[in-house]
Amino acid sequence: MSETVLRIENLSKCFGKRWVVQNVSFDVRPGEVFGFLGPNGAGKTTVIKMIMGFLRPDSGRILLNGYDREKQYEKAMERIGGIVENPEMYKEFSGRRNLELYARLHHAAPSRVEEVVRTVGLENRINEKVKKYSLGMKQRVGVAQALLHRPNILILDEPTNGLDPAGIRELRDILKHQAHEEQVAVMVSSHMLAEMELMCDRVGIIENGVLRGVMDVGSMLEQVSGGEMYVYTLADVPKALALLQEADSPARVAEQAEQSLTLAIPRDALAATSSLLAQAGLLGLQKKQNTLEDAFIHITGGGTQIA
Amino acid sequence: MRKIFALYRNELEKTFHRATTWLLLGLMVVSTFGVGALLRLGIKITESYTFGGLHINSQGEEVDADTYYSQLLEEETASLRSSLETEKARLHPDGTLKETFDGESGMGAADVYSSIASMEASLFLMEFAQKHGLDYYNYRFYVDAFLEEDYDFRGEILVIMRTFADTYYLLETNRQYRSLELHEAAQYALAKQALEQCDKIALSGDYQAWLDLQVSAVSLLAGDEGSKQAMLAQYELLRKANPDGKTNPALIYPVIADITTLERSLADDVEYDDAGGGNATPLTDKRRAELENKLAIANYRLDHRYFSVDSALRRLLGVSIPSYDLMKQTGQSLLVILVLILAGSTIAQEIATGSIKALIIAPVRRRKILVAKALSIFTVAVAGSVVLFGVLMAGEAAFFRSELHQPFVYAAEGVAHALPFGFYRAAELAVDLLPILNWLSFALMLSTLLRNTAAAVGISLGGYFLSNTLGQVLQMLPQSWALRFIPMLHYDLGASVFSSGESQSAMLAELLSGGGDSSGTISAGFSACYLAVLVFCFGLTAYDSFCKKDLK
Ligand SMILES: Nc1ncnc2c1ncn2[C@@H]1O[C@H](COP(=O)(O)OP(=O)(O)O)[C@@H](O)[C@H]1O
Ligand SMILES: [Mg+2]
Repeated sequence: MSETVLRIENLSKCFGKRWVVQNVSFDVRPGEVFGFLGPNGAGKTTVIKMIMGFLRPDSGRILLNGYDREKQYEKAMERIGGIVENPEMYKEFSGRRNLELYARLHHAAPSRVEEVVRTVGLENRINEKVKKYSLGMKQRVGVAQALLHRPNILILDEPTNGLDPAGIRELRDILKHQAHEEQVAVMVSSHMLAEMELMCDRVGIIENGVLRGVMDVGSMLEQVSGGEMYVYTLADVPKALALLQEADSPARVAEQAEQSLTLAIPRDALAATSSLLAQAGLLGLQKKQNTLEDAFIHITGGGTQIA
Repeated sequence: MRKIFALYRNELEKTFHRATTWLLLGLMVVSTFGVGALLRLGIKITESYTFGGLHINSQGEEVDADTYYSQLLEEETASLRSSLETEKARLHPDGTLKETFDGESGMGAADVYSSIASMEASLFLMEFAQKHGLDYYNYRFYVDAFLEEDYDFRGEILVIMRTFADTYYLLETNRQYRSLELHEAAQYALAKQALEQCDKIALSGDYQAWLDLQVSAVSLLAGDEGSKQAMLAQYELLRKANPDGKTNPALIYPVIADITTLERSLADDVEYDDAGGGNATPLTDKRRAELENKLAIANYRLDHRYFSVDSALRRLLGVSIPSYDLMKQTGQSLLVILVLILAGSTIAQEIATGSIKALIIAPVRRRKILVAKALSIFTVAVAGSVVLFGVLMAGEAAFFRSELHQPFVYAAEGVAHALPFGFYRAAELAVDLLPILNWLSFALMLSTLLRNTAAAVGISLGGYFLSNTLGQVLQMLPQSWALRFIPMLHYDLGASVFSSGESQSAMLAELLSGGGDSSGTISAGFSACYLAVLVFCFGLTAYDSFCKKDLK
């Protein structure tokens, strides 16, 4: 199950004199959603374009389903689907005709077109010309096109662009379904942290063309602070601190305020910690959100602006 | 292959989904038909101008052509008659001049005699024309010849009669003042008899008698024995080729002249420019074989009565290109324009709109995309040519006489063969697909190289029109070895394969080089190889820039 279907080895690309991608390596495994996170201009699209065959890497290797992209092009590209930057289609054709043309290239059954149209929820508008579509609708057709030939590698470059919140949720469900139920290796790029947190199983962070790290979304927090973050609202904060010290608790204090403590607690120690702090007048308990941002800032050294 | 086919079908669908494709194909059909219709209209106008058109007579009235010319004839007869009286009044009854001249003018009595004689001959012919209702001014001649079903040979009697009448009246005038010499007396008698004969023939319409009379006229003509012999031979051929006189000899003469010239050249082993044996050049073995083929073709044409009506018609209309070729060129240039637009935009436009992405992501090598695109556009060219063929055939049938649709006659090793009109015209269009492919690959190359639709289409269209004009200019240059490698000279491939020596370029070359030597023109085989090499080079460049370079 854990054999990699997409392997990137030491990929580098130079535009003119500038190295836009440097020595990037990572794997994507079947059944996972891999997030490719980085600010604008970090080199996400460039990496994806190299994987998809738009650009030739200056060095490095791309293995798709075990085939080297350079040597066995058609075999390597056989089971890959995706969107690069904005989804572009033949504007004079309907969404359906676009899908049918694409299906022909993959020798996919025409019935498959209906299936993917239903998957992305475009049944009502699919017969209209693409030039009448909004960006979000095009994005949906793009996803439908990417899914059409049942790829086992799905690569989407900023797919949430132009989607409304409901659309983003649907897309998230589609991608999760593909990864977790259909065992597809999904790679999604984004510059939006919150989105990644909800969507991905693993995230690779790229900045200035360099991959800073790849990690599990779950364990990422622990790497930063040694556990999940909880905010305890307490009547007596000094007493709580004393209790924690006395019990030699694994929870670490991340932040201290007049009426609250923010603690990083390993998963298995939540119950014990909570009952311990009940003695200090526990008024409320809240799991802290947006912690990935902390992780991200931690990893990238906090130097970059995340939109 | 399966992938290329899938790509090809998609490309075809995209191409035929474009409004441009249908617009230009429609324009091709309409313009081709339109040119045919315009030419037909031109003939109609010429016809009506010659016959029915309004003419302003000497009284300033608008009259039709028949009235105009008969009035003109009457007026000119009257004025000539009075001039003749004046001229005669210059002589004393004994034939000497009344006035005395200074030495300067040098005009003697004999000059007055010949002036009188030529006036009398003209007067005679005018009266003869009036008497028999013949067309003295030849205004019906061309139209009769090429557009009427039956030709009336009597229209020509006046032409031949002039020879007799000139001879007769010159001797008649002289006879009044001096006695004729022996050979003069014989000529006089012959001419007199001939004129009487003409009168009879004009009345009876006896074509055989007319031919006999022409033969006898040869002896009255000036010229060397060789050319007289050639003329006699030509009359013999004419008698065979036109036994009932229903075909205008103007159509037959070019073929007959060819035959007699070629036969004489081959017999004497020297190449002559004309049947009279002019401008002789020695004959090589290769040239001899060529002349034998030419002779076979000419004989075949004569036997099957394939006369060049088209070139005669062109003379009538004053257009330099045959109607079919004009229609074909119109249609083909629109087809080429379509091909250039499609090929120039195909890659560049998909890159600009981003729709190329779906093709790049698909599991097909880029070279297959390129091949599929080229194939689909070539398919448009083939389909367009098929449509054009239909339009040309329909247009020719609708606007021009079927006699114009002659087969293509060619000869190999002295034996002539013929390809039916429809067949060889179709083959010609098929051959022309190679130059079109050449343009296609040129535009496709620009499209991949520049990745800019406007530039690729613009430059290739510009190149096409420039090469059309430049090609015609270059053809005027003297043939030389280096010139054969200029692409512009090879785009008229269809016409050069099926050239009857009457193609526009051949005629131009002939005109400018001052001789009928076509051996210097580039062979169709060379052109085809040259174009194939060009297609290969353009294709290779397109491959390199589309398949090897990044798509950013
Ligand atoms: N065609 C190009 N030519 C030169 N530089 C480019 C080109 N495309 C992208 N770049 C540069 O490469 C870097 C990475 O771009 P890109 O991969 O598009 O970033 P991202 O997708 O992460 O926003 C950017 O700094 C961008 O300016
Ligand atoms: Mg990008």
